[in-house]
Amino acid sequence: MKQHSLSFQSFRYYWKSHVGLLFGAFLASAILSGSLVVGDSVRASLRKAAEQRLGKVQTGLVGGDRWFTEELAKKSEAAPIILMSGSVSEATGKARVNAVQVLGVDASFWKLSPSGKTMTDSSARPEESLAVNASLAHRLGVKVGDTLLVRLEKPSAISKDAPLSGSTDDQISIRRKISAIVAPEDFGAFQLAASQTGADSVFLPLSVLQAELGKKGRINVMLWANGASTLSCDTCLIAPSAQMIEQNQSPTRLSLEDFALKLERIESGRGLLPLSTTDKGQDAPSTLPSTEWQLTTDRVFMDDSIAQKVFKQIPGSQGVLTYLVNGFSSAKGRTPYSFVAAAPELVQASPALQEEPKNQNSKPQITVSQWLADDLGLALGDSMDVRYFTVGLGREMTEKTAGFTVAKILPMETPGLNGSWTPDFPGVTDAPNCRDWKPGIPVKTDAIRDKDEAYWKKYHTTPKAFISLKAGQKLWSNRFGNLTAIRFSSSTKTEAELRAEIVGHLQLSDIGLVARDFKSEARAAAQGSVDFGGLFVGLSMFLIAAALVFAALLFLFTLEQRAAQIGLLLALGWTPKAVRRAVLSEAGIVAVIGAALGILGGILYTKLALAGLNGVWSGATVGLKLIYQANPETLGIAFIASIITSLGTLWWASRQLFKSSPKDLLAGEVWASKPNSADESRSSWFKAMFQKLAPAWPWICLLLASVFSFAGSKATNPEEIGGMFFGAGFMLLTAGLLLIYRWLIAQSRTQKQAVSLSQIGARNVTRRPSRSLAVIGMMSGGIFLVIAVNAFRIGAEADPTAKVSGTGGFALIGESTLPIYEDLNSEAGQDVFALDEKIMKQVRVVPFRVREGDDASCLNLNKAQRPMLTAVNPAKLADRFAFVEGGWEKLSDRKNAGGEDSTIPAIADQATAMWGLGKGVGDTIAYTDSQGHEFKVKLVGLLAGSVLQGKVVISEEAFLSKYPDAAGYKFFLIDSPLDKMAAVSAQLTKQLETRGLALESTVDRLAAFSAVQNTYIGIFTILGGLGVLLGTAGLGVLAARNVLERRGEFGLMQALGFRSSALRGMVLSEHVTLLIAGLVLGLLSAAIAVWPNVKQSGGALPLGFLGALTLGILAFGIIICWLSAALALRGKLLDSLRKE
Amino acid sequence: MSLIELRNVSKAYAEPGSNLSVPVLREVNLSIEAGESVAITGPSGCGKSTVLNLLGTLDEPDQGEIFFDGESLKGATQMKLSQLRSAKIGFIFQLHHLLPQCTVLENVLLPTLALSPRPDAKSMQDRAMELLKIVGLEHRANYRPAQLSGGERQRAAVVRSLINNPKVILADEPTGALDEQNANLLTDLLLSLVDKFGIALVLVTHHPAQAQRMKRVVKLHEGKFES
Repeated sequence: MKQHSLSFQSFRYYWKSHVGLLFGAFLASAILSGSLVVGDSVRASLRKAAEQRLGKVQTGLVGGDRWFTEELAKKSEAAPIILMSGSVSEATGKARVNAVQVLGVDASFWKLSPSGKTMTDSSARPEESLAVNASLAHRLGVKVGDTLLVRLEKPSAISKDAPLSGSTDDQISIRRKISAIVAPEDFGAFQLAASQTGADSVFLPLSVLQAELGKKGRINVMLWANGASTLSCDTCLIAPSAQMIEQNQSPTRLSLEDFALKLERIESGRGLLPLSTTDKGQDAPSTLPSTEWQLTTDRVFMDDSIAQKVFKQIPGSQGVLTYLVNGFSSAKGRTPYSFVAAAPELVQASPALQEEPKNQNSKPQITVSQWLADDLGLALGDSMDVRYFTVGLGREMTEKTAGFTVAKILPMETPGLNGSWTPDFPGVTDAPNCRDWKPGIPVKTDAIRDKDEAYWKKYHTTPKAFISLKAGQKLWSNRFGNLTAIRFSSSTKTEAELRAEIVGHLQLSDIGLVARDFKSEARAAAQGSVDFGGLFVGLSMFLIAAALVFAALLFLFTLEQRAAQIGLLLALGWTPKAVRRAVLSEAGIVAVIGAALGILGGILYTKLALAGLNGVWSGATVGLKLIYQANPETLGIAFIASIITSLGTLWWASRQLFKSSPKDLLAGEVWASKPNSADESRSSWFKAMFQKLAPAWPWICLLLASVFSFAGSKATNPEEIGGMFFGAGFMLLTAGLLLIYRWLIAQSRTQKQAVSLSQIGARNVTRRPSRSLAVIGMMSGGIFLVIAVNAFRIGAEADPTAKVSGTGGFALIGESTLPIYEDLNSEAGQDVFALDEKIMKQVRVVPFRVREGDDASCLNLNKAQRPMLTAVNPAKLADRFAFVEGGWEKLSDRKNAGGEDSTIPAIADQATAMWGLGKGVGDTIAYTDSQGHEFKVKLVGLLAGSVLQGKVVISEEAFLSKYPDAAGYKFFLIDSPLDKMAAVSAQLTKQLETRGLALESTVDRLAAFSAVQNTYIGIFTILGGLGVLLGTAGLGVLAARNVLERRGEFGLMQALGFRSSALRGMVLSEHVTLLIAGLVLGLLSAAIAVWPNVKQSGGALPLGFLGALTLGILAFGIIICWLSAALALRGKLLDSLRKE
Repeated sequence: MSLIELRNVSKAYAEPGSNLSVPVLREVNLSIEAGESVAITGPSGCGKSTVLNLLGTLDEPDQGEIFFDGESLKGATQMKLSQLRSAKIGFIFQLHHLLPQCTVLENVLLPTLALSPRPDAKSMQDRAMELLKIVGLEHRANYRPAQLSGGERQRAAVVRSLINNPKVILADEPTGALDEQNANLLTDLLLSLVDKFGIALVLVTHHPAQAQRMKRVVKLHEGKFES
């Protein structure tokens, strides 16, 4: 006979009494393991989705509007890809899908797919070379053999916002028959952005798309497979793969074309230098080199980072800035639209002019061609004006004028006076005559004269004037660059050597191209912005707690019945510790069995939860198909945690019982005596102080609740806010329970005579204060959580007219597939799209620039690694939207953004910041600018429940300082009278169809966000509701138990003449007292805890729903109590009296 | 030196529902010598069981001191008192308090599990069987309490009280639940056993006949002993 065998025998003997404990342990284990496995399953589902969307892709380089050579991809063993966005419509035009990713791929891309199956064939007939993914096929309702029309913007080397960037409406359409529909596992799910919702994709053979786009041999994305070579941007080399090293292959160099650079030998412009001028300003023959090198860029304006490196590397190199001006004017005439080149040393007054200082004024000097001098009747020293456009934040142009003094006149035969100074301005340099120019700036063709056309035919892009580089940059520097070419002479090096020398010092990061580890990003993203395991554990916490309290309550009932046994063991010399160990060992056996069974129950729980999340709760998973996965370690953790928490609860719950003296226990008096005085005197000072403070504890708890509540209202981190909210709630509940306990104790000592049965019943409540308190605690905790969480339910429809609200007072929200460059508020912009003036009269559009990134809204389950960055002119949003903290004006306040100079103030929706990013006001988010440098945005404001969820908003000015070549707008908030909303929506959608503009009402957008939140609340309500159910069941069990214990007492009362119905009423009254106490305490605590949050978010409590919920709980509780009392009081009560 | 001594011991209990306390013992003195059999008698509610609980360290006095083997128990911890009870005191209660989930033998061996250091299991089992044989229960060793008669259960409880070879047995109306014949048999058994093993016996009873069979009878009246 050993102690543990006593425990085992006790378990065998009393197993029926342990059913309640078994049930509690089972429930706790099932809920805990089930919740954690839900987390495993969501993560596994996200991983699976990530695997499907990335296949074997490990790393990659995404150029966006930066194009590099296909050769580079081939040399670095990468898959060359063109990735663009477009819209796709079914041939008849009945169905159209915007924001489709259009991919140009070859066989190497398909090798990266999970299945490795090639889905496009470049050798197929061109008209049948298009594949679509299953999602797009489904949305368009098309099948293999059907014809699709893909509409894309023709890529431009230069930003469409840049001056002289050409037409904004340069689109191409590709009509092809569908050759294949690509399943997700064949890379139909391919997508680089971390999102569980699949993209709609079109796949074209790379060569076909290159030809259509006029980008032969060019790509904008490279992808590497797992374990392949990776790009080392620091050295501008492709790091050799293991295979390359084995084969003794040297690392691969980039080419100038990868930086969109061109090197050409041109006729030297040195002939234009003042060195060779005569006193009359006429050129003289020179011995200058006849040629020199010129480095230009396809992007017209050269990246500053590249220019600086070239200047450093090639001594004597000089920058050139050539610009198309609107015209020249002098006292004698006007000349329209001409090129002016700015370069150092080109303009110095002739010695003759320098000798005549009186003719000099403060105006800078200009060298003009003889043609211009003749046209304007200019002589040396004359004044002339140059009119030109400067570019603003968008494409808005401002004409300015600068005055010059003619310093030199160049004969048209001067060596170097040619078109090589002028870069290829889209829409200009390739035009056959001036009237066909489409430079992207307003051109008054009627100002163009025949002699201008004749000049164009004879001299083409040859500048008519030259100014100093300093003066030119002062006038025409813009965010896209301040040089159009770099010139240098080199007599010794070959072109190949020069190319190698230049490119050898360049890095792809100089132009913002940084390799990304997509696999790692996907893994991080798949961790999920919402930890479903944690969420379900959190949401189920009360249910678990209720199960444990329920188990503890029933376990204590069992122990109370066996109090004499415990007393006996103590009397026999067993130490309280040993007895407690024996009893808990016995409970441990039950807990182990319960936990083991609970693991099986947890699997069922998970499957039910997943079925719910794939079904009625699919709003919470937003399109992610969840798969079941349970990690053994998770089950192990849940199993052990369940046992520990069960035993911990029992240990805690039974501590009072083991303090009872053996004599009392032997007499069946469980809660009567006080502990041994010697042990008591050895108690810690802490305990003594704790007891001394006993009267103050409720008030201390209330104080702590206030502290938590206040801290919660200031916290920004979601965990902190959640913790503070529940902390405040817990403290409120504890304070209430302590006060109730005090009342129960006071009532148990009252001398007041009970004069009615219900008063006698109510007094019974005070007989076992701990029991009563456990039930009140269970009830109030459940009610608190259900009511508190449901208070956050978003019920009311958003108001599209309220400016200080989630809609910002905007009626519509729009997103375009292709950028919209025009100002839709201006007449000119509306004319471009032939918008109806009447409809647009009361419409105001606030455009946002967009830097593509991950959706950080609640609609994306992945954790946003690079949240979408948007930019707006803050002045356009003044007094719009409700803020939890901050305001739009803070976006312009960079000084107070603090930190480094490059820190940019940003605003985000509170939900996005808290849940999507885990950030709050003052936190920063890192981004990479177009030069490859990291910069930080700092959250300075939070919007309350807005349509801007998922985005980080900064000022347009700051955005353009970091992404100067960004072009156009892709996100819009549209102010429209409500009665005209439909007409405005129809008009804009139709007229901007080519840009793929999709509009949605702000009310619908908010409803979509609210649906997710409400779904979470719905899940909680069910889980919390189950907790309340368990609490109510506990109340029922308590009622039954109390009655069974007192059957003799009831028998006596029956003998005295009380009717059974009266006794039932008495039992009901005492337990309904507990029910109401729990209900009131839960409601009060919830109301107090929720109030700051409700007030802060500007929301209103859904009182109707909460009232119905409360009445439901009350009604259910009364029914349970009545049933328990009725069942326990049935039979002959007088027999119980006789037994006594 | 007495085996157990109560010196000026007072004890009161709080009155339920009030802060008042009801005195039960008032500065009582009592000595129990080794091997002595003492009966404590008195009317119901006079504090007999309280005295027994104090002697058995199941309760502590409000005032006064208790000595066991000459050592004061004042300030002793629960642990020390447990060790004292397991090694030196045997209890017999009015109700047998046998664990229903254990066999008779296991019930008898129950106090041995509280001994520290733990004695050899085999020798303890042999001793238990020997004692059961003495009381005529060896054939019931593997029975459950529910399968025994009232007299047998109480005899099993007597054996349990002897298993650790205590210095004193404290019996609180052990025959209270038995008929007269069985009560006499149990008293005979008790006296023979304490005599055989040289153990002191303190018997609380309100049966004068049984009390008279003890070497000494002390009467408790209004919280005081009347010798």
